[in-house]
Amino acid sequence: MVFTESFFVFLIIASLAWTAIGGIILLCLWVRDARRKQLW
Amino acid sequence: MDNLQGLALDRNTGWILLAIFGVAWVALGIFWGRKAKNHEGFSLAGRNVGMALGAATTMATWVTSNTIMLAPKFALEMGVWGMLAYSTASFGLFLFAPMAWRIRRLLPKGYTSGDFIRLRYGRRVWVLFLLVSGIYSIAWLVTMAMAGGVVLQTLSGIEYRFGMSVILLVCVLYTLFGGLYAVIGTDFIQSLIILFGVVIVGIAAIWQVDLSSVHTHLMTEQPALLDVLMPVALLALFNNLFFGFGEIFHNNVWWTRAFALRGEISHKAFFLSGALWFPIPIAAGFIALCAAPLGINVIDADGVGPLVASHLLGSVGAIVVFVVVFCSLASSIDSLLAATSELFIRDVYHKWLRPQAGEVELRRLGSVVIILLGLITWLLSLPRLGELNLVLFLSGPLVASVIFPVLSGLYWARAGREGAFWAILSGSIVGLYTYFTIGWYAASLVSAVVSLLVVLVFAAFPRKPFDWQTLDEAQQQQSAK
Amino acid sequence: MGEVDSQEMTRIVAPVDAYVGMEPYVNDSGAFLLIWEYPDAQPLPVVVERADNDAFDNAAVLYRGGDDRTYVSGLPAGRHYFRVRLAGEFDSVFKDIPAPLVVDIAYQPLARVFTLMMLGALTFLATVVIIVGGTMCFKRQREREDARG
Repeated sequence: MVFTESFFVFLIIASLAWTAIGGIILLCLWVRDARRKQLW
Repeated sequence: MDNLQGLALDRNTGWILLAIFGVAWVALGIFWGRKAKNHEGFSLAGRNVGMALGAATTMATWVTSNTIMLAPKFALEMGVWGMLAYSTASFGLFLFAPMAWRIRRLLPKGYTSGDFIRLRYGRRVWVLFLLVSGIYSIAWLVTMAMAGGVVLQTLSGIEYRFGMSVILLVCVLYTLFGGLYAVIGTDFIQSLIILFGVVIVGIAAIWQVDLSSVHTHLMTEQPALLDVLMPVALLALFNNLFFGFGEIFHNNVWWTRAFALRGEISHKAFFLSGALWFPIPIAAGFIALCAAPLGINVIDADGVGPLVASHLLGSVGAIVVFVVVFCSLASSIDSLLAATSELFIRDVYHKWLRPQAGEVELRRLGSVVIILLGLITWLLSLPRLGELNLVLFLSGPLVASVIFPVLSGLYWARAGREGAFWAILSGSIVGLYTYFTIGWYAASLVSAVVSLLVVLVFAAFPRKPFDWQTLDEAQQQQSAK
Repeated sequence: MGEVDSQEMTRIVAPVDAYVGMEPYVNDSGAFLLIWEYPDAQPLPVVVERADNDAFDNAAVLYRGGDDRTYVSGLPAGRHYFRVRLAGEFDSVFKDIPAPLVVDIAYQPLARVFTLMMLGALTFLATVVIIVGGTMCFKRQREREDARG
């Protein structure tokens, strides 16, 4: 039994997208916290 | 050996990058350090860190040089399961989220994980705990410093001892000037660099290689890497998981963050950091699977990530990897320096040697301990002993034996000091024995299982339930007055 | 087969020395580093081949070039043959073909894998139950205390 091609491609694309979204979420949270003066 | 395939960067570029980031981190450390007005500010960033900075610092600290360097190696050796197995290290962060909530409520004025063990289980368990934590923390620090030196040398030809020394010096300096404020502030920038750096290299890879042809190549030439029942990878799965649990649940790096984050968001920040961390080993690791289809000859499995990246992106790729590795090292070394020095100052010095020490004295001593810790790490890293990596692997069963003593201490009033003591001791011994007799892939798992059984057996004996109020030391002292 | 001059052959020296260790090299991870030596220590282009038979029928070329090592991984279980020979126009000249390295890939038995996984899964479950159950329990308790004021 092997990991299929579609799963393989999905895993890689999804992990890259997820990582990128993570970075964007962090930036958005930073802006939100900075506006509310809740960074520290 | 390092020069076999030519260097991706020339030495001058390496030095310039090192200088730019070194100066930037130290300057930012000094800038943020001005926020620290007292020792509590210095060591816990005022206990008021918000969501963005909290989640970022936790994630960046858990991304070590290993995540960037070892995840590709896992992919190369164990394939798809290797990457997934590595990703499970994020489960420790997910599970620490509810623990952080509980920790904040049990010890509203706590400082360290040692604090908790001492108040909960007494001095004997505490000494054992500090021993385990000390061995692990020093091994982690030294192996990271060594990894830094090796990566710099591999990518740019900067001599090992110079690269290692500069990375360590930069981290010591900004942690020294800025305390946890500097650590958390720089971690935020470093986490963004890590996330986007990994994405850039990954996109460059799928731009140049057709993933379905990679799959086809693996099917014919390296089929075990796609095997759903790949034995080595499946063996590694739970062992890695418990190694990670042991690291996160016991180490003061994570407890410091639980205390430093604002009370109502601490658990959310840990959960988010786990979610941010989860895809990184896959995103950073899969490029190793492209090596053979791209015709890249891997001569050293440890360096396969940077090798493929610089092959795909040329010197730009090498610069991105250089910077990402530097950031992932710095974000972990700084946290470990801060948290380990705090463990020494609060637990050993203040609670044991000199209970009458004041804020100024603790702050001054904090600086001395950070310098000393940096010096010890430097001296141990200088000879570049490969055996030190073994010390880190051997600390796996040690830290895994602490998982259930910590958990039962947090959640079970019936858990007592005898159970904790014997759980740590027997888990460590049996785990180490397993490492040498059965294999590395079972050591942490067996250690966790043994310590769980010991904790359960001792908890079955009837005993007076623990009074949770005892943990709130500040409250106790106030009511005593 | 003609006379073989060992001075003119590449020689596999790791994971085991092909001349000393004529026994198959047994490996349980499917991954290892293959290192070879050049005649007269001169780096020359070589061809690294892998096959499932010692006649090297349908051999796969793993590497072609001037390095002295290559990392092999992802091998399926079973017997494999590796050889490293000098490349060039006379690819099939006898004297360039050294003795193959015989590798037996024998992964851990699945019974052991599943036993350890079962043990791991149960312990993982215990961890989750202690943490999530404990936290929920204390959350409820706290809410009760808050309600009582």
